[in-house]
Amino acid sequence: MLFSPKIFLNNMPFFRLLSFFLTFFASRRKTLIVITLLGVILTILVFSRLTIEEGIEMMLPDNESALVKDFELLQKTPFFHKIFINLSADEGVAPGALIETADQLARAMRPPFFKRVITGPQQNDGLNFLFWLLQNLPNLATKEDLAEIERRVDDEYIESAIRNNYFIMLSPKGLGLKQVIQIDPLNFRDILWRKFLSIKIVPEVRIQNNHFFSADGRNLLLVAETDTKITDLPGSEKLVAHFQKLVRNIVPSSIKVAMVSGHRYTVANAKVIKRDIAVALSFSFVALIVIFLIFLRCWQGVLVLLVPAIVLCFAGATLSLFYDKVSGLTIGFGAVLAGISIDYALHVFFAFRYESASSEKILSMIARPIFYGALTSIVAFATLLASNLPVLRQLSLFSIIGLAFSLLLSLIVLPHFIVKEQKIVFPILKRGNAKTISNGRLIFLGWILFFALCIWQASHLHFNGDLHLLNYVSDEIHRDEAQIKKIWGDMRDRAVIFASAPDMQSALELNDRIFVRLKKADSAIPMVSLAPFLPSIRTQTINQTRWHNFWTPQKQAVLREKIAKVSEKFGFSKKAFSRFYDLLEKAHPPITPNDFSKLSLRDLYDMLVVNQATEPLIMTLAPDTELVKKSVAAVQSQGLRLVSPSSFKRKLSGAMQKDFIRFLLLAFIMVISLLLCLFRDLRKVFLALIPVLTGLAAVCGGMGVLGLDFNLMNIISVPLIIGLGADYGIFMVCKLSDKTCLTVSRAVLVSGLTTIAGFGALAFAKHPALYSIGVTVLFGIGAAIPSALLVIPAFYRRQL
Amino acid sequence: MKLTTCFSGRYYTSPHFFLIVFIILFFTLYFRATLSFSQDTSLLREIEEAASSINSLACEFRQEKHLAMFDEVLISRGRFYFQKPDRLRWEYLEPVRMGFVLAGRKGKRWNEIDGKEISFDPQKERGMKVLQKQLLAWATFDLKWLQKKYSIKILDRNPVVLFLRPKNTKQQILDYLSIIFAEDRKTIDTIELHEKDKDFTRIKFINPEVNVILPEDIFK
Repeated sequence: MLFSPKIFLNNMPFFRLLSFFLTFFASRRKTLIVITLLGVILTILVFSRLTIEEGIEMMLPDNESALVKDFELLQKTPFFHKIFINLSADEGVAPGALIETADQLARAMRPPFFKRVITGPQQNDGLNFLFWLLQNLPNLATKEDLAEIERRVDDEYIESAIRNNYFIMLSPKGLGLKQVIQIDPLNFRDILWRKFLSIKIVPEVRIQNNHFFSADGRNLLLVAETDTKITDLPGSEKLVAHFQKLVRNIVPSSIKVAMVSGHRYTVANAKVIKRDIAVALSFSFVALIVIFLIFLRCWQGVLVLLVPAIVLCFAGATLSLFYDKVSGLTIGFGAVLAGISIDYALHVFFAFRYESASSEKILSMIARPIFYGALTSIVAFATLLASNLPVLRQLSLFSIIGLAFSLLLSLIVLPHFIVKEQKIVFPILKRGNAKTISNGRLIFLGWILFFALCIWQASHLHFNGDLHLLNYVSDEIHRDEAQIKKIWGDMRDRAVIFASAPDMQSALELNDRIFVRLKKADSAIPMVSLAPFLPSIRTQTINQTRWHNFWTPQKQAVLREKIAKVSEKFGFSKKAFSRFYDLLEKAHPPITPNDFSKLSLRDLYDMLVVNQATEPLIMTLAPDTELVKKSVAAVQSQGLRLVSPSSFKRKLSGAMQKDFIRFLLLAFIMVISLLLCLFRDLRKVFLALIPVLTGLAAVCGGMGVLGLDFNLMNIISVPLIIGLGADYGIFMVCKLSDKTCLTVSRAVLVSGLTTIAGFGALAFAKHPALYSIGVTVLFGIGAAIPSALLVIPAFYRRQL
Repeated sequence: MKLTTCFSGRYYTSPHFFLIVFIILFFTLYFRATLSFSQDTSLLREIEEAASSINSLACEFRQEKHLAMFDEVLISRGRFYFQKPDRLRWEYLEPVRMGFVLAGRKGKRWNEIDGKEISFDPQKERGMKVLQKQLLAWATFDLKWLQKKYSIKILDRNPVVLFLRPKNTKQQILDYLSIIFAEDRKTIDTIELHEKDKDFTRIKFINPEVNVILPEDIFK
């Protein structure tokens, strides 16, 4: 015998306490019932008032790492908080009708739901804007621009440009372009226009009637701002519902509306999580009923089934003492917890109902494996407390509380409600044991093969830090996102380079440096940058000096002569281009951020500049490529930081991989320590670890075969499988070495089935995060149970 | 009362005199304005109705540009074609051969100097889009659109002379337009576009041919 009940019960305070409670409540069952009932009612009351939070914030790292800073910066990018609305006109709808509908919709999108709707660039006087640009050419012209200008002051170009101007003046277009030609006969505006395009944030946009139109003229873009936070579920629900109502009332059926915003994700995720919780819990409940009808079939069995429900409420209620809001994912994980927490109750149930020994002896036989089994699960979950993700920490605490409470409820309360059944019939298990013995070698070989296969397939396993994969994206949202991306270009997947400095001019200087660097690396690189349009004063002063050095009085005189000569041929008067000559001579004050307001370009400016309290941030959007990353790194400035969805994903994947290894090592060390403490025999420790190793191998192998990745959510399966696998191992090793408790195999089988009932429920989840947990753990536990029931006995016999 | 008496000190300075003059002036102007408005509207509708009967139009034009940036008046000649609902051809024959065709969302321009023909989408070129809308509005005398964009005043009835001032003065280069209709009121005889800087363009349409069959390739 492994241990004597008396020695066992007396050698630890916890077990002495269990023994005391067993004796104490044996004669006070009514008191126990009253205390339990009051506790349950209180727990249910607190649980029913729980506030569930469905936002993504809980799924993001919250420590002071670079990843967190990156995420904070990503939130400052131009499109992060904006709502994009695409109005797509059917064939035959006139652009005017599309504009009218868009304007009507924009007017109706009012506070409190929407703060502002941008229908197009602010109304500015095109001609005055061009004059302003031309006047600022000395401030903006770079060395390359002057080289371009040099080419334009040659005889051939002047002849061609003046002739072209003559044609324009002759044609109806001359009416609109007369003043432009007067001030810019040599088309310097082309150079300036290219600079202006550098702040075109939406790649495929065209401005038509002061509205954002697509290239084909059939799509119109509205950009809305709101004070409703993406994480505010009730606010998001109201906002989305209000918008849909407006669309129904205003937009004709010939115009289709697509809306893309974080609020829609919030609403869709919350909806699907609620559905998943309902489905998972219902499925678990039904599965547990089935298990009850097959294995339990008595009124005490109902009490066993009530244990996970009470545990769930208690864990949720206790969690509310630590958190204001509990994540929907945590509660969704309740289905899993229900599957685990019932295990202890099942062991107690089978032992107290079918074992013929005294209650004290039964308790002494099962308390230690149950206690150590619970402890392995608890320490495995405790490793998640070290995670940087709030949701994992919350989930960890939720599980620890639940498991601890389940342990106490099963060992202290439950034994008093179980009536002994004299007839012990375990035909299945008896047959199973016989087969295990006879087929030991086959099982051993099969297990080795399975293990090797899993390890081989595990090489295909990857870590994926893409947060989008954890978001539920409905077909409708997916379609709208794809449509907006196709029509308006890739707005969200570009890399963002942040330039920050203590003051605006220093930040602009840094922004100039990165722009020059990127252009040097690849002159054709498509960028959205303020640098060509709003360089720092220092850069503008350099540009001005260069301009005036270029336009020496002698050079100006030569140019005038050349233009005059050609102009005369086409009948232009001598004063036709006098405004152009003024431009060459005069200095213009440098451009400042205030000019953007005067030019009605404040919206564009605000999208690229964040005026923080401490230091301004200037953003440059560039393709998310290695070249861009290397160029940014080459500038070597502390004020520069590149953030891109791909680098964020990579960093997050790296952090996850580290977390995974940490969880794995920590959980292994703690579980092995506990097993050593329990068995003090390395062979038994190894045997108890067989379900753990099999479960982990099955997870890695199964995911490898199916091409699934480890993500932020399913890595929690690691401690779970370690903890639960160790549970099964402990019970089976205790059973095999103890040989007194016949009910263990049955308890392990039923508890395994209940766990699968919990996890199986999550496999029906639509939410990717819950689904990935469900499927992953299903692999692990699905493999751990047979390995506990079949492989451990086979190994045990071989070792003997 | 003799006129001289009126202007002799006593009457002239009397407040009653001003009051009477004011009342007469007010009512005269009021009735004249009311009368003029209803007459204006009916005349404009008459022109619109006459223009609606035009399915196609072919004419020559003579354009004079009086611009300060040129030493002399720029004179050019050409032809203008219109086919309902949205086909236009504006073609210069002298001093250079150049022009453009606009047909819905298709456009083409050419000039004899570089010999190139360039296709374009008028909707994507702001200048051409505005021009297309203006030319079509005039060719069809789209009264609703014209009244939205211009304050219209009838200066004369035989022939009809209209004075149009852009309503949105802020972004307009044009100060006003004057349009002289042909005697049959169906077509425009002369149009003058006066800019704010006193430059102006005069276009005289000659030999208009209404509802003639135009060769299909003229708009290609």
